[in-house]
Amino acid sequence: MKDGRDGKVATDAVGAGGVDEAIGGKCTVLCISKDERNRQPSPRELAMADYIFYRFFDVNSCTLSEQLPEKIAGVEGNLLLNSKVEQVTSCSDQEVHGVDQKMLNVPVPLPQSTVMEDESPVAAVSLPPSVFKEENVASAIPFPQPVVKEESAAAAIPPPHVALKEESVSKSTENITKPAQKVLPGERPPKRVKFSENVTVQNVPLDVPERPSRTGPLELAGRQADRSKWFKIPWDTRLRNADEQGTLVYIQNLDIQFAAADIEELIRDALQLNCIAKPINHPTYDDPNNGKAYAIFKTKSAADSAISKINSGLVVGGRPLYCSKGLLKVPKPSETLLGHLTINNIRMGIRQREEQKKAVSTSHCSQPNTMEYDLALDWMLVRAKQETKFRTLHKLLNAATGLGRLKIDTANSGDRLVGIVGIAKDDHVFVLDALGEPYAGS
Amino acid sequence: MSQVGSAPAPMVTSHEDAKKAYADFEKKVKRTIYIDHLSPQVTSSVLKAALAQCANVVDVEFIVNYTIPYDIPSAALVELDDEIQAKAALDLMNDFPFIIGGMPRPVRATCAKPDMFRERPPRPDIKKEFRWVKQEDGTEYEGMKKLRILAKRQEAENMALIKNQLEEEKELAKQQQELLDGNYKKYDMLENVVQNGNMKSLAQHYGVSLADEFGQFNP
Repeated sequence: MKDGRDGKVATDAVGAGGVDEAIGGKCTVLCISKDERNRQPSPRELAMADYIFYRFFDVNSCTLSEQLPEKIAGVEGNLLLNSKVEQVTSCSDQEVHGVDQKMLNVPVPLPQSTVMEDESPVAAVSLPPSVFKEENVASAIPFPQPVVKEESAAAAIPPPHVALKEESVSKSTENITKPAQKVLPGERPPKRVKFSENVTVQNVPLDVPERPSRTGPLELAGRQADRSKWFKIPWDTRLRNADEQGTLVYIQNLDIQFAAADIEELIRDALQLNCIAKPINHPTYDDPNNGKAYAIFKTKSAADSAISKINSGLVVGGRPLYCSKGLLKVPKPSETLLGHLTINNIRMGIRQREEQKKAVSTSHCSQPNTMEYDLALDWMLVRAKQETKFRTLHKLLNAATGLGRLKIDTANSGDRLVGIVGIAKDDHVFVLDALGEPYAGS
Repeated sequence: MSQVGSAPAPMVTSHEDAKKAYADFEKKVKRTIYIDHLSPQVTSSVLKAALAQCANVVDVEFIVNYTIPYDIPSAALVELDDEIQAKAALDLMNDFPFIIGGMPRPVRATCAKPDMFRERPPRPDIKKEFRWVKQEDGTEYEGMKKLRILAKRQEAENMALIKNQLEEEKELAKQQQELLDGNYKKYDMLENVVQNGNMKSLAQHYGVSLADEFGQFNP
């Protein structure tokens, strides 16, 4: 990691001097700098504050300073100070406490990373400077992505890069923790160990370009569900963003009964990687023997390693999983449904056309004395045939996979594998070759 | 490769809670119906109106297609007030061709199943055993590879079937459109003949009394 080139300076907390929702719910950030431009917080405000800061970190010279510079990353320094009017906010739900507890231990050179993000060559989600001008960073960000949330959160949360600057960190940490503890009630015991562990482990140089997709150092297992609720990001958008960033993995051949939590747990146990996953089987068309899911990993490298590991031979309940990168290409659905017919009448008046349009919102049971009924019956017939075909195919597939599982289980005994041997429900012994065809020898 | 040192997840819910959550979910499944072969223009309010005669729609979740590389009809999970309503709605939609938002292709409705829901609590006691099969494992590794090929092949077969079905549907739609157009043309011609007076002059020419054949047309 290099330092900023253009004299950018980072503060202890960007978007400060007010209520910052970026971290997780509402929290109050106060500046206790003695700078004359800064309105000194009242004792009451201090008691309410979740985070305080008084120093600034110059990314360029790697120094801490108590002087507020005129501009920080193009933003007026004043914006970071306390607002002119006292803000009385009560925002001490359990959630927020949980977060600051960890934060208070290492709250120093954080926005360093935020600034650097601007310069990283990829800068996929680097915050436009304008974002800093907003007080409520989180709510101002247009794209609904955990990524962005992290990005903005990074402004106030110690980023992983902290570890690189060990010296300054440890020094400054000591410094800042003292006042912090003075101000805050002792009900928040430090949990430093876990936290710093996360920080160091995650700090892989390779990850830097993908940084936007990582969920940050505060991301502890089991917190993901909560986080996703803070920002109501549609799953679809997440998928697309993750696809762009290369953190999306499409996993196949799962047990269809696995819920999202099961898949996440499986990935965590098997690969020691955290991800957000959702099963995505289409009820009508997907094969119920082949469960599918999309998993979003934190970094591209995590996604890549997950793919190679899973494809190398992860067997879950007798099913070898396989996966690929990215979102499948699915055509955009057409405007109308095939089989909804209209009569093309040139002489039809505008009023009638309008009526035809409105008819979309109507529904009825087809009555046997209409032509429509006959046509509808044709559709029902085709449908019934299709259902039978699907059922037959899936039954066959299920039988084949079921047999396969059996063989896998007995393969340890050392017998030679000619194909997949198994016993069907009616006690017939099957041998299938690698392609699932009945083996000639059976 | 980056390893995330994950702290052990705090047991937020006990086993009992998980069971209860799943039981609640199962109840929800029972009062939900799955409707597909829907027009993409159908919205949740349309569905609500369509089912109003037999059920009250609580929630509609349209199922987004992420896996099928074809243009497939829209589908939705429709949650109703209770199981009785769900049954009534299913009966209504299965006893007659039920038509929503376009003719003549009817919608199809079935009971919902747990695996149709994208958001669902994990089923308690589900087995999540996994193991790694490595190349050194010999026959087992071969077996694993074969199984994987099998799974991929099955997937391809499934897709082929879907493609086949969609083509079948397209063909049917085409046939029906032709039939409909033909029918329309026929009635249109008949109407024209009556309206422009050709029929009358023909009747006079051949000395046929229209009153006998087409009473309604004779003034």
